[in-house]
Amino acid sequence: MSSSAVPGGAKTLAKRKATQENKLKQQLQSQPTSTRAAGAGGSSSTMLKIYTDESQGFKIDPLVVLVLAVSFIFSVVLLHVLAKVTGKFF
Amino acid sequence: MHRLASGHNTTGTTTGSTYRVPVGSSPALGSRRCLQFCQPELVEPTLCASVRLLDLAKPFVSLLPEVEFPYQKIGFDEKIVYTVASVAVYLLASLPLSNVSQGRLADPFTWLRTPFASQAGTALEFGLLPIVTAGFLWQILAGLKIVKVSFESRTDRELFQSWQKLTAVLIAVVYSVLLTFAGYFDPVDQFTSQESVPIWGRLTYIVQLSFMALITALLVELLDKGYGFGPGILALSTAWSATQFATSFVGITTSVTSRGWESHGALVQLIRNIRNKSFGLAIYEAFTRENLANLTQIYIALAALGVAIYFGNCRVDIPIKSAKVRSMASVYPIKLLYCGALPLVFTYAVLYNLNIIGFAVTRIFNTAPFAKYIGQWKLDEFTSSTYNLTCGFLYFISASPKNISPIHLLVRPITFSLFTVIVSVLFAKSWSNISGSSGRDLAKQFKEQDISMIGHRDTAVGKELGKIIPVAATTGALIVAGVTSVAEGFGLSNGLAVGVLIGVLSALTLLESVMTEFQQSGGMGSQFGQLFQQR
Amino acid sequence: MGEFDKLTEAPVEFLREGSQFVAKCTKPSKKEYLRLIRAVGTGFLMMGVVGYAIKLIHIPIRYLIV
Repeated sequence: MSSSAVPGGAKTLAKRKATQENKLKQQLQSQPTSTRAAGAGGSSSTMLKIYTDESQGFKIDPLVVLVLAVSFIFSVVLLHVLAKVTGKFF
Repeated sequence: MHRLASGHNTTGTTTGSTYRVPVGSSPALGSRRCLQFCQPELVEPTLCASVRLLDLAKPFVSLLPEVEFPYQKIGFDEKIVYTVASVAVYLLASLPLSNVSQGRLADPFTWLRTPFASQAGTALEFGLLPIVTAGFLWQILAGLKIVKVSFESRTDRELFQSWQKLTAVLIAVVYSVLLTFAGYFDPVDQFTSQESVPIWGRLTYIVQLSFMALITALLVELLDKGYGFGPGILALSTAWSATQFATSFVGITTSVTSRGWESHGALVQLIRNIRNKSFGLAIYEAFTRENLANLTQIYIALAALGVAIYFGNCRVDIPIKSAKVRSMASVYPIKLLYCGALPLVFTYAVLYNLNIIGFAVTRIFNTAPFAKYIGQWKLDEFTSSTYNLTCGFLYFISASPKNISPIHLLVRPITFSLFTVIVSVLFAKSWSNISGSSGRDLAKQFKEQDISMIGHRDTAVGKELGKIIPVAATTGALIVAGVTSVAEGFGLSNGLAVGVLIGVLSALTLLESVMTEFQQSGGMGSQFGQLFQQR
Repeated sequence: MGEFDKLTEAPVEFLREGSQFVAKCTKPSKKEYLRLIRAVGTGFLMMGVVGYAIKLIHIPIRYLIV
C-alpha cells in the first residue's frame, strides 16, 4: 500500500467495519427467539405451547400415555388399600 | 369484507404443519444457518468454545419418553375423544397421595391453586405448575438470549423441548422434597394421631409427585402434538377451572364441616339453608361461609367472566389486502388482550413458586431470624384446613386477608395490586416480543402470504405493527391485572375469580383454534361437527 | 422535581397510549356481547358440569381408600 492512497484509508476501513458490525448486529437481532418465529409452531402470544418437535428418546403412542396415567392412578389406590389392610405405613 | 380466522395463523398452516415434517427443518438450510450462527465473529466465542447449557440435556434425552407425532392427520372426532380422555384422566388423578390423610392437611396455597389445576394433598399437589414454570423459564431465557438457542436448527429445538420436560420433572422433585421436609404433608393434629409417617413413607410422596409431573407433561405433550385441541396447558387449566366453578356453584356433593354436612355448591347450600334455617341466616351463611365456596365468590367470579368476555373481544382491525386475490380487502385483527391470559398465568406462577419456596424455607429454618421476614403462616382457627399468611414479604404480595392489624389490611391490597400490575405488564411487553408474534414476525408472515397493509409500504409493515403490538399487549395486561386486583385483592374470592378469568380467556383462545380446525378439516362430516352446526 | 417528573413520565405515557388504544378498539355491541356471554357462559358451565360428573367417580374410590 502506498502512502498516497488518501481517499479512504483508515476512515473508510472504520466505516466499512461499522457497517459490517451493524449488519451483523441486525442479523443477530433477526435470529428467531422462539420456535414459532423459526416457523415450527409453538407458543404464540396467547398460548404457551411447549411441545412442537419430536425429539429423540423412546417414542410412545398417545394411548400408552393414557394407559400409563390410569395405571398410575390405580397404583396410588392400591397403595392406599394396602396401607388400610395392613394398617401400617410402608 | 371477510375476517381472517385467527390472530396468528393467517392461513392456519403454521399450526397444521406440526404433524408433518416441521417447517424450516430442510436439512440444507438448517445446517447452513447453524454454521453461520457458530462463526466466531457472529456470536461471542464463549458459545462455541465451552459446552452450551442446551447440550447438557443430551445424555438425558434418550431416557425421556416422547409422544410420537401422528402418522396421519387426526380427524375432528378423534381429537375430541383424545382431548376429553386426557382431561378426564387428569381430573381423576386428583386422588389423595398414599400415606397422606388429605382431610387433616392444612393448605397454605388455596388462593393460588385454581389456575394451575392443583389440589392439596393429592397427586395433583403441584398440578400444571412445574410445566408452566419450565415453559416460561426456558422461553424467557432463550428469548432474552441468556441461553443461546438456534431455533432454526432442529436438534436445538429438540434439545430445548427436552430441557423443558426435564426441568418440569426436576421442579416437581425439588418442591416435593422441600415440602416433605417442611412437614407440609404431616397431619395438622399431629399430637393426637397415633403414629408418624416413617422416612420411606415420605419417599413415596416424592416418587408419586415426580411421576405425576412426568405424566402431566406427557398429557400436555399429547394435546400439543395434534392429537387433541390446543396447547395442553390451556386445555387442562380451562377444564379444571370450569370444574372448580361448577363445583362451587352447583356441586351437590356434601362434606362434613363444623356446622354439620354442607354442600359443595354455594347455590345448593343456599337452598338447603333456606329449607332448614331462618331466612336471614340462610342468606347470610350462603354468602359468608369460609370452608367451602360461598356466593360472594360466585358473584365475583361471574363478574370476572363477564369482563373477560367483553375485553377478550375488543380488537383493532388493520385493513389488509392480498396480492393473490385481487379486489379482496379484509382485516387483520389485533386483539386488545394481545397476550390473552398469559400475563396473569405468569404472575400467578411467580407467586405460586415464591410461596412454595417461602413456605418450605420458613418451615425448615424456622429458628433463623430471616424466616419471619419472608412470610408467616398461621393455622386457621375455625377450619384448621388452611394456613393463612399473616405477615412478612409474601403477605404483602398475597391475596390472603387474614390479619388483625388495620395497617396491614390497608396496605396489602395496594401492594398486591402493584405487584400484579407491574409483573403482568413487564411480562406482556417482553412476551409479545419474544414469543414469535412480534411486529417483525407478523410482517414476515404477511410477506410470505403476499398480504400488504393498506396505506403502508411493504417495508414499513413491520415497523407499523411493531408500534401497535406492544401497546396492545401491555394495555391488555394492565386490564387483566387490574381486574384481578379488584377481584382478588380484597381476599374475598380465594382464587376462584382469577381461575375463572384465566379459564375463560384460555377458552376463548382454545375456541379459536378449534374453529380453525373445524373449518379446515371440513368438520361438517363428523359426528360432533354436526352438533356444532346446530348450535 | 425534575427527577420526579422523569419517574412519572413513563407510566403516564403508558396510560395515555393505552387509553388511546382502547378508544380505538372495536368493542362488541350490546347484542353481540349478550350473545357471547350466553354462548361462552353456558359452554363454560357445561364443561364444568361434565368435569364435575367425571370427578364423581372419586366418591366410591375415596370410600374405598379412606
